[in-house]
Amino acid sequence: MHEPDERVDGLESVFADRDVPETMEDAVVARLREEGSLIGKPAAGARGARRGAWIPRAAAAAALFVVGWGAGARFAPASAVAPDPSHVLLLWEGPDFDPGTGSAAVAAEYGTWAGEAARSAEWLTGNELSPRRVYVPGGEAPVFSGDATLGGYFLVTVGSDEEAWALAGDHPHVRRGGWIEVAPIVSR
Amino acid sequence: MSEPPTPDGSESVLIGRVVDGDERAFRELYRLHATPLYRFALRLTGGREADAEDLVQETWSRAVRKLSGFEGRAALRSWLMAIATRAAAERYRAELREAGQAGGVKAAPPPHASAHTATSAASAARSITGRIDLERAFAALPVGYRSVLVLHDVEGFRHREIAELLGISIGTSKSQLARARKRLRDTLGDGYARTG
Repeated sequence: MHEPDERVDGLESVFADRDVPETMEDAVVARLREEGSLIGKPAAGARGARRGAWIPRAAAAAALFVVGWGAGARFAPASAVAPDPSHVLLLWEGPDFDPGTGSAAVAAEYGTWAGEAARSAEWLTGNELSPRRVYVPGGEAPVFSGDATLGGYFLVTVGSDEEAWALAGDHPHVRRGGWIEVAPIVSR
Repeated sequence: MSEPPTPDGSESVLIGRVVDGDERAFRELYRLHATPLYRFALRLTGGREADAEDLVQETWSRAVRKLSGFEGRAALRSWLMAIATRAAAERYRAELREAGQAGGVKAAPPPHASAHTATSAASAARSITGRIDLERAFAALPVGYRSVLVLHDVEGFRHREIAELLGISIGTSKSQLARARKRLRDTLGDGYARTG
């Protein structure tokens, strides 16, 4: 009664002529490597670099909104043997932030950056921040936050402020119209 | 869905190597399933390429994490499709929550299928134009309808399996399938080809 025996013809042809984007394989591999599921070749010249746990596409909270995933942070725990981070890189996004054509492209970009950054930094990790925010006290965003959203962050261990600034300057987040706040971590 | 073949020996070897983190093996495994999985994702997402790419990524991410527990009782492709379906369903629920918080639900794109006459629609079913119309009508289906339609009428899942995958009752699966088919037929015109 619920299932009329009338199957619409031709459904198997729907989207059957679409080819897989050429960049997808590398994007998937990049993500799996960042998640620690695949073991890639060690980076040449790495100084004991440790790949961070950053899920690249998750950095772009705006992209997450656009594509509707909004699934929250997905990342592996930082290594127990990680050194103390020297700097935090806060990835801010405003109205001008460009999430691009989709988070797959963002994933490839951020993954590439993380891979390159891990070659020069002593240690690096990063996480997405969920778009679900609660502000204490009050529950609402304070006025000073404006339209900016903190989409994610990296913790790095480098030898100087200049190295941290250089890493941030190369991040694709900047090219997408976001900005990165770099702050040394105070160790007392 | 009808019992699919179990992974052959070479695929089983690849799976074992991927569990060990072998990137080259993963690339081989990926290529074995890339096209059907991507097209499946396109169907689930109504043809939105960026969303389909995200869904494929999410599917592989989840699959590889669970791969050590893959027992080979079903074909890997069916297993991947099940993971993709769950991920798409989770995403849809998240969209609903976000839309609710934002004060509205994003409207589905309007169908652009032309109003064929009975005669022309039937003949167009086998033409490029007919296929494009079908894709547009398909994409305009509510996501719940679309998911059940893809799983049942394209991929051959049974209602019991669909109900489990989507977290709905078997009756809901059946009724959504009927409504999806009716919505498609209404959009495409009465003369559109159908089969039993």
